[in-house]
Amino acid sequence: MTDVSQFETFVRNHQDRVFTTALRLLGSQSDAEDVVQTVFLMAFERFDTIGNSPAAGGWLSTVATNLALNHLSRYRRRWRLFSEMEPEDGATPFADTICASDTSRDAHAQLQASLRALPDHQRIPLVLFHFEGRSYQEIAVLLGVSLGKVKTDIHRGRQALKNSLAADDAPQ
Amino acid sequence: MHPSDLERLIDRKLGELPQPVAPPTLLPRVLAAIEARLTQPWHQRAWRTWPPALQVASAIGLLAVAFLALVLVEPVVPALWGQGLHALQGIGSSGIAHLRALLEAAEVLRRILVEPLFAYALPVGLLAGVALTALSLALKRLASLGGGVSEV
Repeated sequence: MTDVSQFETFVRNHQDRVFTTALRLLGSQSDAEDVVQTVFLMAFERFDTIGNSPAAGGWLSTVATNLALNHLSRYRRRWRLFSEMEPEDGATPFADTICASDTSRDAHAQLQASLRALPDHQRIPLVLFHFEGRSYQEIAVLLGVSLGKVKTDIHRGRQALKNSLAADDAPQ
Repeated sequence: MHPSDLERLIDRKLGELPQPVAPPTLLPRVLAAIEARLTQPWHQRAWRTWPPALQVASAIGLLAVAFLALVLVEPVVPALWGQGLHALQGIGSSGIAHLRALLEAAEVLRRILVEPLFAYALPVGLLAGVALTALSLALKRLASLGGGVSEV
C-alpha cells in the first residue's frame, strides 16, 4: 500500500505545476481544483510505478491536460473551439492565484487578463503550444480539429495578445 | 510582423508570466479524497488496486464466464441461422434468393473458420490471459523493487 506521507510530499512537489496547467486551460479556479484532485487520485493509484519516476511530471501534465479538455467537453464549452463567440464576462480567475504584488495595471496581470479574454478556441491551443510545449500536430489531434485551424487560431491569438501589449505600452 | 517573430515575442512574454500557485486548500482536499478512497472496500476501488490474488481470480473468472457464454450460445446459433434461411425461402423473390446464397456461403465459412476457433483459440486465449496477468504482476513486483520505471 502506498505510504500517504510519501504521497503528500509528491503532491507538494507537483501541485503548482498541475494546477497551473489546469487553470490555464480551464480558466476557472474551482474547475481547475476539481481536475487537480482527480489527477492526484489517479496518480495515487499508480504511485508504485510513477512515484520515483523522472517522467512523473510529464505524466501528471499529460493527464491534467486530457482531463481538462474532457471537462470542457463535458460541460459543453468545447463547442466554442469552433465558434467566434465573445468570451464570458466576469472576474479574471488568475488574479487571486498569482503574486500578491500584481495589480490591475501590472503588465503581467494585463497579459493574463488578455490571455483569459481570448475565446476558448484561441486560448486553449495557445496555452498548449506556449506553456505545454505541444506541437501544432499534437494540438490538432488533441482537439480533434485540422492542422490549418490550429495554426490560424494560434496566430490570431498571438496577434490579439500583441495588440493588447501594444495598447498597454501606448502613452495614456 | 513576421509570424516567426510574433511567435518568439509571445513566447517570451508568456514565459515571463509568474506561475500561479496552488491554493493552500488544495493539498488537504486531495489528501481527504485519498483517505476516503482508502476506506472504501476493495471491490469499490479500481481493479488495478485490488490485491494481486483477487486480480488473478477475477481475470480467470471473467474469461471463464466468456468461455461458458460462448459454449452455451454456440449450439443455438445454427438453429437461429436455419430459421432465418427458412423464412427467406418462404419469401421467394430472386433478390432474396441471392441473399440466401450469400448467407449459405457465410454459413460454410462459419463452419470452416469460426468453429475451429471455439475448439482451439478460446482455451489458448484463456491460458494467454492467465500468463499475461501473471507476467504483469511479476513486472509490477520488479518495478516496485527496482524503482524508476516510468509509466506515461
